[in-house]
Amino acid sequence: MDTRVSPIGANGILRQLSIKTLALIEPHVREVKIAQGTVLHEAGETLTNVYFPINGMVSMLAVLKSGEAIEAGIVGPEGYVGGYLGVRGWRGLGHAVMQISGKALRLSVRNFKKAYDASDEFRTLINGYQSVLYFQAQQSAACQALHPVEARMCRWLLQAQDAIGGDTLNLTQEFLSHMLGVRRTSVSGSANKLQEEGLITYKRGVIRVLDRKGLEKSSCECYAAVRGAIADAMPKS
Amino acid sequence: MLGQTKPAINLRLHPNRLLAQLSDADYELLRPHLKSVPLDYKAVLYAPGQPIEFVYFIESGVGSLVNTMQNGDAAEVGTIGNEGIVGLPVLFGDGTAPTGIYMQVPGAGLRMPARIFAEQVNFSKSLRSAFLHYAAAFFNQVAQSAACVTFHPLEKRCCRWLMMTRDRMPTDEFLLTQEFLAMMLGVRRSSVNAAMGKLQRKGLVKYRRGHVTILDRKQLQAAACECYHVTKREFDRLLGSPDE
Repeated sequence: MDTRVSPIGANGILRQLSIKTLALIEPHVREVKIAQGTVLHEAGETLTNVYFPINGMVSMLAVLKSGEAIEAGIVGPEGYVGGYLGVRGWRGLGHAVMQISGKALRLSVRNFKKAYDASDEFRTLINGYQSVLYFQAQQSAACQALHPVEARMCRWLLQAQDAIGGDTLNLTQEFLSHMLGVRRTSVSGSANKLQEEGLITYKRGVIRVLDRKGLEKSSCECYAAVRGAIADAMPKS
Repeated sequence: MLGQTKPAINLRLHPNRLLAQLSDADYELLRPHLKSVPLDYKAVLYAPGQPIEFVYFIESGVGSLVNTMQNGDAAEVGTIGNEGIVGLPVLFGDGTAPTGIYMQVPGAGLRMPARIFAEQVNFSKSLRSAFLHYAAAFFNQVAQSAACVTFHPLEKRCCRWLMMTRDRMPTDEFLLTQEFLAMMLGVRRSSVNAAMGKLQRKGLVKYRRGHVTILDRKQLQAAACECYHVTKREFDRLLGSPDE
């Protein structure tokens, strides 16, 4: 048996499963690399796979016909990407896009559904994480309406950092504009402001977090609210 | 089946579209506990941070899901009418939520104790599944609304909200305060006035002292942003089209 840390251990949902439940899943997952910009699913699309991130970050977007979009929530290694049980099979929840490249464990919907139906433990964790996504969507909608853009930027940068674990965030300007709900041209303005305050550096599109505590202080309360929701729904993750 | 009581009504005609979708057996798990209640203007169905006592099935009227921040600032993030259930957090095992629901367009509905609802969805996989489907459709509505308010022009959004409300009411005329409309649209009351004035001049609605009368449903639908159609299609797919 491989003594390195198993990728299963890196995902917050999978690592909580008993050996018995894991036996339904582990033989069927495949580790895959996912590049930044990959669309994992579109909203409402019938899925063939679900993903359990090991690292990297996925963004759940609400996308309009024009292509304009805003961020509804972020999924990192604490969760899964792959939607909900729709009337006809599993359907994509929001528009899921890989925002920071990474790896994930991919599971076919067929095997996912088998485990979901067979295991109370797995179903509880999946439903629990779904409620986190719904919470994020609601919180983000209110955040978008009420909070100033710099506070929102701090919030999303903190969430992104939690997902990937490092100080360097390779986020595209397009993604930043979705996070902030502003036009792409306004992104630099907000990023420069945070740079002036010594919280980050922003050089050629790459953000480096300098002052994590400072970001937490300047963030709107939505960061803490989402962390709280994750802790409540997934206590052991 | 021998000994099984038949429901007194044709479930498919139930004014709450979500209940209408349940199997007779699943509906029977809820029916004995459902009580008819009026849903008055500004009635609090549940408040942020407070234990959720009842879940509600709105039959007419619209409830506003409001997210309240620590400093008291609040924003509306979604609306619920006869297509859904009020009290979704209970489905996920949450006894409280940071959100609250307030009736903004008065009407009536059914309510049952949250504790019993939680027991029944735990008991019946198909019942739980029906509500999980709704939860996902509701999530999509919330996400769509957030994108809508960010990018779409006020007049189109106004038409969207008016049509969403009309779809949830039994008639073309209903109470819709400026205060509610302003909150739904995320703008000041003066902007609401101006937008409604435009729609009135175009002959789409009549708006007098908080009462809206939809005059031209077809044109109003056409004037709405895509978000109306996207959300409607999703709920119709989930619940069956209510259109005669």
